[in-house]
Amino acid sequence: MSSFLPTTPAPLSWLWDWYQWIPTLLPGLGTALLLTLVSVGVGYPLGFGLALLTETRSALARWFAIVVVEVGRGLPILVLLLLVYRGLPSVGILFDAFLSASVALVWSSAAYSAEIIRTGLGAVPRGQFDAAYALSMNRTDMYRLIVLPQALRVSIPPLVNLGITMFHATSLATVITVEEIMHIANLEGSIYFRYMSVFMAAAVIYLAITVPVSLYADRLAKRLGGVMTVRKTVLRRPAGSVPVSAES
Amino acid sequence: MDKRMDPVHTDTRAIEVEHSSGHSFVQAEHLVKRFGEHRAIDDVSLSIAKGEVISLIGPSGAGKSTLLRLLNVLETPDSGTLRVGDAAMTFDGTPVKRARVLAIRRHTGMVFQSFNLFPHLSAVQNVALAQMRVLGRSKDEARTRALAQLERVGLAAKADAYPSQCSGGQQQRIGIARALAMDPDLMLFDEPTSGLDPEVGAEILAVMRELAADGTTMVMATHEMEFARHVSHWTCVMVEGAVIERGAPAQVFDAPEHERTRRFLSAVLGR
Amino acid sequence: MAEAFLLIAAATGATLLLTVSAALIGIVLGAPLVLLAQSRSAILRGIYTVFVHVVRGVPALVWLFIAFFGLAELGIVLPALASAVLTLGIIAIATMAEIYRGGLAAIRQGQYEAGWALSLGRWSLAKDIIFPQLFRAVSPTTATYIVGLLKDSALASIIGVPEIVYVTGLEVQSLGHGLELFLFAGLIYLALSIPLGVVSRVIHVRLTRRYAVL
Repeated sequence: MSSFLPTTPAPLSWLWDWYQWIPTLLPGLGTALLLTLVSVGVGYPLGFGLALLTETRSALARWFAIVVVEVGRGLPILVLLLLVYRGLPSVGILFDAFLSASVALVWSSAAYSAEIIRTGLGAVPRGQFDAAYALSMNRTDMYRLIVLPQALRVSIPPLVNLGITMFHATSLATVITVEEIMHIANLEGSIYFRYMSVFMAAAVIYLAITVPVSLYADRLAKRLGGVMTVRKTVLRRPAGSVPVSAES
Repeated sequence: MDKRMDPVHTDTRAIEVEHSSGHSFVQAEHLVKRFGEHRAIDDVSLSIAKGEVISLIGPSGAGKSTLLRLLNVLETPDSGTLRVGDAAMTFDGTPVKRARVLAIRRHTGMVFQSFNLFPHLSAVQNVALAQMRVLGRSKDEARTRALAQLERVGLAAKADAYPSQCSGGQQQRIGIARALAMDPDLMLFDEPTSGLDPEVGAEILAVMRELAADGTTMVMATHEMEFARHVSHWTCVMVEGAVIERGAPAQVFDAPEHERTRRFLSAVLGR
Repeated sequence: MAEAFLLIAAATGATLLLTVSAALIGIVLGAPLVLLAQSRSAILRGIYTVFVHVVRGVPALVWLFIAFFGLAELGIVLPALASAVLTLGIIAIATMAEIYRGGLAAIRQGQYEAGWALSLGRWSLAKDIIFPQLFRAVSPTTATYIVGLLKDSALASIIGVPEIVYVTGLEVQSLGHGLELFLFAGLIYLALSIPLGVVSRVIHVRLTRRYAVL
């Protein structure tokens, strides 16, 4: 890598030579994606379970779910990471860095997704339940065939966005020495004193993943929202209409 | 439907009868409004004398609302001329002068189908705001006049209520008071009752009937055929952006000249 | 131990300072930014879209490192606190602009038309009609976002700003008791975010009780 670089780079060289760091950072991207996959793949099903628990009749289960969700949403992810990695060892629970990061991110992702799924379930109109009961459906069928498909329409776009948030959050795992993108970037940056260039490369890698996914989420929201989507005209006027100021 | 296939359409240009005699207060000539390829208003001319009540009837999507919105330039016509009182404009696709548009709007008040009350202001504030900001009336004067207008539409008791605390009929009456408070010479009503229950709509119609009796110049797009027939001086039948027939209500309703008018009336009147 | 708790609690000031400064920057400067999104010029709207997507598409930590290490390399040496405020502030500008954009989209076209039909001037339309409704539309989202900023401010610990998490880390390093101390730090965040949530809910309920919900 050093052979590419002049010993004293031009002050703005980071604007064009950042791409040279991409191969170095790619293994970090792999780790970040793996962590994202774990936090989504394990976190969302747990979130679904927590969402159902918050609706149960058992007060104990309900309070358990509420505490797990509120702590997961209320603490900074950084604190969750440090709690697992540096806090649990003091009671004899030792996870390695990757496992600690997985536990903290799964917790966070489960908590946020629980809230999203609960909102989605709440958005299904009361009349849909009534209609299902009136048709003598059993509860399982009612949820599986009537309630969930409608709840998911509401929940999927925010769940995709939460996935992006979790991908971003993997960068925090650098503080507990997980070798994701920022960990490698920081290390390389300090070795060559080429921080600007290497962080640019990191930014480009993050953008390359998040921008397509968030554009997809926007489109998905529009499609699933159907007639519910908001009109685009805002301060812009409708075609042809004339704004006229009466200020004289 | 391609309008060129509609036989009625071929003679629209023939119908530019000056129905009002003497001096007209509103004079619109050859107004055209396109939305993309669609000609929403297709060469409409209209002249209204002071104190006249004009009703626009016709099927949904015929351009009644758009025509009203051209009359206070909420939509800019693509071509044609418009004069309201002493404010005149010619449209040729070039950007319009704000001062001219303003002059026209100062003459007109508009009542919307969806009320469009300001939800964060109480009834009296809704009516007073533009008086203060546009006409420069003092707060006290604006409030006094606002209360008088609310009284006129029978809502003095609701002066301090917010729109969300009022029924649809009450909201629409506040909307009428708001427009009247600007002392307009011309009132435009864009299907003011179509979002309301028939019984509630009757409240609105009663207010409008009084305005008409007081000599207010009014143009209203409406689905209330009985009302149009009994309150308006002239009725225009709009189909696909054009006025295909116009005349005194008795003539239009009882002896329509056009086949399309007959079809429309028999559909809505069920006869 | 007791002293550690006190030191951590005392660091709440720095956390609040970070949160409040970033929030103010975003609330104030997000407004001119959203005007770009409303512009008739496709170029200005494009600039808005690119800015918002780039700022929000990159993790805050990357911006923080650019502001702290990167700028220093270019000869712009910022103290850690300034780097953190700058980073969180710029992200807050982009986020608040998006919140404002959503609020504007929630205001129905008829509100503008009613204003135009009444000959209201541009300034009056903005000040008397649009702004009050926008304010009500965005305040719950803004409150939620400020709670988010509160948690994001923990990032500043990574570059050594002595806020809650940084001080907690130092204490754990010297005393151990990682579980208790980090839990305590977490409780402070919960304690700070719950009142904000309650306040925003109360405001929201009070506003919606009186006014039509947009």
